Amino acid sequence: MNCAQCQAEFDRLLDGSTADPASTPARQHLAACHNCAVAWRDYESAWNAFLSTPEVEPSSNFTARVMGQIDREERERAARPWFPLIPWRWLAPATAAATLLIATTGVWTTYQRDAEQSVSQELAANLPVVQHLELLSDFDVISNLDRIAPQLDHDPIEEMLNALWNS
Amino acid sequence: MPFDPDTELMLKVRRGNRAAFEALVVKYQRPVINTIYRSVGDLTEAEDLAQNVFVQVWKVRGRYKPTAKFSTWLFTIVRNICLNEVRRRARHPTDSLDKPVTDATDGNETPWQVPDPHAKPPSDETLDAELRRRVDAALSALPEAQRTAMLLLRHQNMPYEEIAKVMRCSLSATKSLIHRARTLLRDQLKPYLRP
Repeated sequence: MNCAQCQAEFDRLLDGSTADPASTPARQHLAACHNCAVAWRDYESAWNAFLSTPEVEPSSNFTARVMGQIDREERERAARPWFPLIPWRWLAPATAAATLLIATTGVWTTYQRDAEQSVSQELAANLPVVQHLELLSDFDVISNLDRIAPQLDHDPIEEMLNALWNS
Repeated sequence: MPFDPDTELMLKVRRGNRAAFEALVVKYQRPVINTIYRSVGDLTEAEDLAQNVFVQVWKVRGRYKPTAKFSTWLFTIVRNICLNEVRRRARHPTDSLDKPVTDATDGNETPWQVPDPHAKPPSDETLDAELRRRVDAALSALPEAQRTAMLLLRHQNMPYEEIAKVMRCSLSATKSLIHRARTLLRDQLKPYLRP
């Protein structure tokens, strides 16, 4: 064991028992090395000086003071209005998250509906009926064909469809 | 985890048992106050901060989980409160060279002393009193982590594994902290140590 290894063992010597077999090589080195023996003596003395400084005594009424403050805290908590008792710390972010979720859902739904409509418009553009939009110019007549059909001698719907297919 | 009677008491405190809480205050006030006193250097302030520690324990009792020894949990709170105080002082320094320092052990007021690295060792007659003051000065000159580790080792006789938990570092880092602290303490106190 060299000097550095020995001095690295000082804490084991200080904290462990003298019977600790792991400290034997360090003790053997200390017996043979004057420099390490001096360093060890100072190390141990400084620690003992630290241990020997007197502890401070708590005030005799310290426990009573703590319990008194606990009582005050409890009374103040009980007397506090309900408003601060609401867990704003959790409720505020939860409300924000819920609002964000609702807004996102709304935007998404609108987007989906627009997408469906745009698809319908795309399909409709390819339908023959749309290519003959002039037939639909009088929408009221067409939508009321069912009602006026019995008054005619022919079926206007069938006639219109035939015209469409033939075109 | 081995049976820890303080953990049992704290579990009662969690259910709102004031007698159990009082028992913990009585048992731990001395090591808590001494640990804080060695960090802040003022007994009145140390007691106020220790009071805050115990009030904090009461307030957060519902969050206590018996996953570690009670003392580990308690001294983690102590360390946090000391750290906050050290930060607060760093933001609002108030110490004056004219301000007298009250010695908590004998109550005497001594003038604020600035360490003189070139000062000669004191005479034998005043060595003990001087050594005590130098220990306090050397301790307050240590980095916070080293000082706290030393204090936990001394006042609580805490095993290294527990100190590591309080310090939130590894066991090897804790051993290194304590070794460096002891080496610094030795270097600072060397002129005052009796051969």
